[in-house]
Amino acid sequence: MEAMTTQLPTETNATVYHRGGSGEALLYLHHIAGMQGWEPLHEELSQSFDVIAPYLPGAGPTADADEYRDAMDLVLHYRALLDELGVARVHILGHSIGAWIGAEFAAVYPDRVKRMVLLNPMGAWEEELQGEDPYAQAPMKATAVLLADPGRRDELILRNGEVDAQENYVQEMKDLKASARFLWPVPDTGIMRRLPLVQSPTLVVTSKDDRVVPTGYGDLWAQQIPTSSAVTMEGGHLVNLEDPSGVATIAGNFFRGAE
Amino acid sequence: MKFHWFHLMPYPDLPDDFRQAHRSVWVDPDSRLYDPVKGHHMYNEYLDTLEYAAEVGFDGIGVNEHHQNAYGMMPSPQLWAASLARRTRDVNIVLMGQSIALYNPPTRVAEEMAMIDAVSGGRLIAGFPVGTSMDTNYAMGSNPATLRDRYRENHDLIIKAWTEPEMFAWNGKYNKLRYVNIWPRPVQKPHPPIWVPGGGSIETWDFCADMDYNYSYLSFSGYKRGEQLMKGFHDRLAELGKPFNPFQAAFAQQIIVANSMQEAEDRYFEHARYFFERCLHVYPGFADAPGYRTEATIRAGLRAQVGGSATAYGKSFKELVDEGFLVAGSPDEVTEQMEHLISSLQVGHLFCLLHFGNLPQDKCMDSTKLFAEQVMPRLRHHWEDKYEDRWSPNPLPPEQRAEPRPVRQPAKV
Repeated sequence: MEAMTTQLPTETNATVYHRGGSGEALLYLHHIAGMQGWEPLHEELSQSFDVIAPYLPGAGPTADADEYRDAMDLVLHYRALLDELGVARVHILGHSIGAWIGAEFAAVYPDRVKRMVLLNPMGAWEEELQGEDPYAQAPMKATAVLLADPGRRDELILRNGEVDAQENYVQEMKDLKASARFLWPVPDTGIMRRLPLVQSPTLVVTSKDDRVVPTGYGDLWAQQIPTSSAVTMEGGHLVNLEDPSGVATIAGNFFRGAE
Repeated sequence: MKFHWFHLMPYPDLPDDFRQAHRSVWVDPDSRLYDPVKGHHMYNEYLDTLEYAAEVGFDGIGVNEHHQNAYGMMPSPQLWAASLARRTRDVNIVLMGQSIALYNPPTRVAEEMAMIDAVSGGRLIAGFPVGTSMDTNYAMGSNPATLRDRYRENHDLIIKAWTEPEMFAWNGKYNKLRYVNIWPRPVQKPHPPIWVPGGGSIETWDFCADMDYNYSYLSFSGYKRGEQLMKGFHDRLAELGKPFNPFQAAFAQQIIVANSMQEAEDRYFEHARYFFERCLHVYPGFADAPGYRTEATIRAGLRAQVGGSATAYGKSFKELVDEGFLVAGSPDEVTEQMEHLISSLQVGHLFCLLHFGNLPQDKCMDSTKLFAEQVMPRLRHHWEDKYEDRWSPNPLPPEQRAEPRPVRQPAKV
């Protein structure tokens, strides 16, 4: 699936996204370390949904994101994108930092969100739970901490040699920078105060071996969202790569109302 | 050629197994390793040594800023710069950092540096480092995605606060101040010379070229490894059509002067090893926050500020000298190595790291004295006639200078 580019009227830089499949629209918002283009997870979801997967401004092939300073800038960015694509209402699958952005969007535009899955949500900070710092990792293997089994990095990130390690390093630094812009140094965005404004039915999913977002965060998020529940699955922070079918099944069932 | 005696102020008592038992000397070193009584003596001894360097004739004495760092214990270098300004007379005060991006509002930096320039009678060199990732991003929590942007804005605000006679409003991205009108103003006009320490980012070279600032490469890897990077700076200046001037560049070098090479090894090697093995033991996850280096710099393959230093670990004294990590030996041998350093790096200012690791004061002063008396005079002539040093301070003439009252308090028994 080729990346598509659009120039939103209110913005300086182009927005880049992938889109495929048919059915109800599903907005996928990726994790703190970017997106590997059209991933197996997207492919599987696209069997049932019209999947729209944009890059976070500053991540992937997009230009640096100086113009986005806070949650409101991001919410308006995604609103402008959906307007541009002519999509009125969406399901949201928000992963990691994408869960925070999705929740902010749902709090501001409750009428535009049907159902929402928040996967390993970042953006809250609980003293007792904390979580490992994803931005203080050894260079060249910065994303190892995001996997349940760091030994799978070669397979899942470098795709067994398909991806050049140096290029991947440059890209990872760029993607992590794009998310650090909003989550540095302590990922407390204040989202907890705004979650009660979310009206869409929401499922919070955590992964058992996520060192960055310990599973305890699942209940904290769910407690703040009026119609919600929390479940835990196997995997690490990047469960989209570790178990794409598992994520597609859980999210797909929830969006279909068959959870 | 100008020589500045530079102190890092390392904690001298890290345990023998520090490297094995602890993750990092920086950001998260165990605070229980620090003894406040030792700290009291350490700071006084180190300040004494800096004052001694002024006595024996160095051009400048230097301090810098690090945070949560057991080898660089000057979180607030302007405090020591102020103390040194009061206790010295003619030497330049090289304040090689205030990491200007960290201070909000940065007019505080403009104010404090103006105070030091005032009390010293115009002897301040104002260092404007971006700061390492360890200091700025991890210890001080500054966002790496915006650090460089913030640095540029803070720089512009400080310069304007120093030079604009009219009160002004500042509506920046990171600073909003309705009334900017600092008192005092610097003695030096338009402002103290600005030096920018760097570790090899291309943007910093261009910044120094554009602004006509001194570029200081503060490496611990020595002059042989520094050659390529320093050449990069000079080449970049030429590319941008700027004239070559060695005084626009400075370099830091660890130096040992003894009566012979053998004595240098016998008396000093263990302390150099302490530095390379314990002080440079930094957890790699703190070296380079995402966004700290620009994509262009990463692509250029240049290392982060301390990234190249670990290679000294485990080397013999001879290897350290051969590879240039240390300039060492008798005064003749040191002079010869320094000639090579000056000609290969093409620098007019040198930060002499004559203290390193847990070097005791007596050995440090011996080496300092030999350097000042038997090495420095033989190197002074370099560059002096051919190039104008526009990056050294312009102090008030002697007849206009205040005379501080000497210290007279008797110690309580």
